[in-house]
Formats: sequence, structure tokens, C-alpha cells
Amino acid sequence: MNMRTAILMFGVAFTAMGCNAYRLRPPPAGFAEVSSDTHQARFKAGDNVGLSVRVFDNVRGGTLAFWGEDLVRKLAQRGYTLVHHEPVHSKNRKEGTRFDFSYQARDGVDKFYSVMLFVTDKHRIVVDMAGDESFAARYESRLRPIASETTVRGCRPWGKLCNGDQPRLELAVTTATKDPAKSPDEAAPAPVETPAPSPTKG
Amino acid sequence: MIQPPVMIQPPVMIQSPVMIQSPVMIQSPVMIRPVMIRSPASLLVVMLLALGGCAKAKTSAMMDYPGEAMAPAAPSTWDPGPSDYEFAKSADESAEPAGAPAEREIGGAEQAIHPSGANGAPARSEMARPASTVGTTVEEGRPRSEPTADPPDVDAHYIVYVAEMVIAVYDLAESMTRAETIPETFGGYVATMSNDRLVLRVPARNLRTVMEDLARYGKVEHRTLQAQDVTAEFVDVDSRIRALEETHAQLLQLLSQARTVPEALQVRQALDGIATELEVLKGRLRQLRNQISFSTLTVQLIERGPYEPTPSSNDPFPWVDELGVEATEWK
Repeated sequence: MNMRTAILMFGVAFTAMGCNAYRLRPPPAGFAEVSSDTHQARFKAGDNVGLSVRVFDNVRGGTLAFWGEDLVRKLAQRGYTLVHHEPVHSKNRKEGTRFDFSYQARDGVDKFYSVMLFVTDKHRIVVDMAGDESFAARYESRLRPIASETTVRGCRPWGKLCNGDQPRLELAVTTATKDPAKSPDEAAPAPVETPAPSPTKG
Repeated sequence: MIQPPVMIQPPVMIQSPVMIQSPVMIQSPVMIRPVMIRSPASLLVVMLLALGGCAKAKTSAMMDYPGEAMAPAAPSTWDPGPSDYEFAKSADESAEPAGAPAEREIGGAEQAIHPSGANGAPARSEMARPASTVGTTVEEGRPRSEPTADPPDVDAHYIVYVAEMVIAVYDLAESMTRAETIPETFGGYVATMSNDRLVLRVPARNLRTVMEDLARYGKVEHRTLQAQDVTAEFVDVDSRIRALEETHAQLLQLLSQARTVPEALQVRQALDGIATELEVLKGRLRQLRNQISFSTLTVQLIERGPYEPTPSSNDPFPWVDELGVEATEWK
């Protein structure tokens, strides 16, 4: 193998590696892949717990803190109650944040909803899981290993966005409850538990 | 020597097979020949009399008449005028009405489709090849045109089945691809297709099997089956075709016997009118046969998965709308 071939193969491998904004293979244990493409993957467990990976384009100024607060506030407006929050790390050591919500569906059944958010210069990558509340205990410990199996892409080598600050959740919750566009009935209840955020990075 | 037309063939006598086959009537060539060649009016009278009776009863005297063949002088394409249409129409109406016992014979054409399934789906639907409508043999003075089919099946029913299915599937593209191949397996075809909708034409006898196969693709959200009984129309059209074909054959015979150009033209006009009506009726019969033997099955596939609400908002970043329990959990 001469130098030209090696460079060519490296280029092909690099290009192929960079096609997807994320990589999560094989499917996490207990989940079967329903569909998958460059911007979304969906998995299903036997008890109908769903796991998804969704990719959104990032915009200038879109930091982990900004999107984290945006996500919590908007979900709170829809009746989601934040019960847990902690930083997580991807397989390639990019820092994200995890939110655990409780939620009552329209049919009155309690649900759990956990979201992991990673923000890079190019993308927002959301890994979320949902199912009946009765399965929450079984699955809450499985999300962190899933994060550690997920590779997120889109970070510039010289950029600082990929390891930005964690969201300031108190502000997000306050905004949600004081949203004038929503009636008190529609406003989300205050989170019952908000652990202290992880140490911020400079 | 020459008998007046009234005395030659009263319509009542023509419709009676006994009278037709009697020796008295057989001698009619001698009686008819002068009438036919004298004038167009005589020709018309003979034709009308023949058509009045030949729809069902057969005038062996006319058929067996050994007249000289005359090549038709009329052009091959003839524009039938109103009189021709009326002639053809009257000839058609002279036949026995559809539904009469003798008219129920379909020439052994179609085997009925009997919906004997418990759920109303067609249990069996066998379409036999239609036999020739009219026999053309001549046997010992018997009528030349005689139906050769078995006695009519009074229980025969001709049903057109139209079915619809709405199926929720996990993988829409794959299910569409699979559904596309189903008609080929059963001898049908895809009539129309879009992203999530298929209109299949499948043999009626396989409709139930096809629907069962499709139901395995996912969850059947909706299923309908409509059966339309077209027996009356089918029998009516078939009978009219047979009557017109007999008339057509007899007019051809008359055409070969015409002695003058005006006579030939007149017969040719009548022939063209009947031919046009025959084609229309045959087209309708073909359409009915197709609808009976091939059921129409419309399949709508919908993607099965979480419900995704889209709250109205002017937020510039509505990305969270795509998140949530409804968009993630499987039901």
C-alpha cells in the first residue's frame, strides 16, 4: 500500500465517518431498531418503551445552556415536570445534559420521559426515552450507558461550544411558570426536584 | 302464384317453432323469392318479418333459401342514419325481453360467484370462459341458430366485489413494496399506486386470501367489503347481444341475396346500425366480466407509531414540538 492509497482510504473513511451527526451502533441492549437515517434513529423495547436519537441543526449562539433551558421551559409548558438533571458525557467525551421528567398523558397514565442533549457547533443531538412510569426504575439506569455509547459529531477543533456551560434550570422553570401566553392551568407545575447543576466550565 | 306478404309469414307464426318447421313453411322459398326481388318495400317487409321472429324462433325457410350470392356494393364504412338506428332498435326490441326463461341462458358463459363466506367475503368466484353464444349447425330442418348451452343456472349470481383496507404498519416503504407484489402472486395487477395507497385488481376468487395476507402487514384499522349484484344487467346485455347477433347473421344472409344495389345498400344500412349497437353491448359485457372476475381492493397504509402533536406557536425554534412522550413511546 503506497502513500497515495493510504491517503485515499483515510479520506474515504473520514468522509464516511463524518456523514452522520451521531453514531449509536449496535442498538442499545434490549432495544430493536425501528428506523434509522442520518438525522434520526428510533428504537423500541419489548414493553413499548421508546428510544430515539434526533438531530437538529444548530445556529449561532446556540449553546448547551440555551437549548437546555429552551427544552425544559417548553416541555414544562406542555405539562412535563422536571424531576432530575445531571451532566452526561458521550463516547467521544463531549459533555451534554440529561433531564428526567414525569408526565401524565391524556389518558391519565403516568409516564417517564428522559432526555439527553448534546450541542455541537453544527448540531443539537437529542437522545430521549419514554414509557410508562412503572418502567422508569428499570430504565433510568440505562440511559447513562447509552450516552457513553453514543458518538456525537460536529465540533470544530478550535471551538468551545461542545463543552459549554450547563443550563440554568431555575431560570427556565421561572420563565415557564410566568409565561403570560399560558393560563395558570396550562402552566407547568414547578419541578419537585432540581439537583444542583454540575460545576460550570470556563 | 305470388302470395301477398301478409299471408306469407305472420309474426305469430314465425315465433312458433312448430310452424317454422312445418312442411308448409319449408316451401317458402318459392313464396318468398318473388317478394324479395320485386321492390325495396317488399324487402323491408320480409326483413321486418324475419327480424320479428328470428330473435328467438328460427326461420329455417329463410336460412335455407338458396339465393344467388351477391357481393355487397355498399362501401365498407357506412354512416348509419336515423332510420338505420330505428331499424336496429326495432330489431332489438323484437327480441324477447331480458329475463324471460329462454333468455336466462348465458351460453354457459360465466360461473357465478357465490359469497358463501361467513363474513361475507367471497368464498369462491370462478369465472369460466364464455361459450359461444349461439350454435350454427343445421340439423334436419331444425333452426339454424340454436343455443347450444346447458339449461340456465337459475341460482347464478354475478357479483362485483369492491373492498377497502386501512392498515397501520411500522415500515411504510417496505410494506408498500411488499403489497405491490401481492397481485402478481395471485394473477392480478396494480391499478394505481401512490406513496401510501394502492388500488389492486385481484381475481375475485383470491380476494379473501389477498386481504388476509395484507392484514398480516400490521394492524387493520378499517376494512370494508361491498358486493354489487349485476346479474340482471349481465343477463340482459348478454341476451341482447345474442339476439342482435342472430339478426346480424340473418341480415348478412339477406345481403347475399340482394339483387340490386339499392337493396344491398338498404340491408347494409341496417347491418351497420346493428353492428354499432353490438359493439357497445359487447364492450359493456367485457367491462362487466372484468369487474366480476377481478375485484377491486383499495389498500391505504398508514405509519404506525407515536402520536406527534404540533402545538401552534410562533416560536422560531419549534424543535421541542417534535420531542416528548407521544413522539417517543410506542403504543
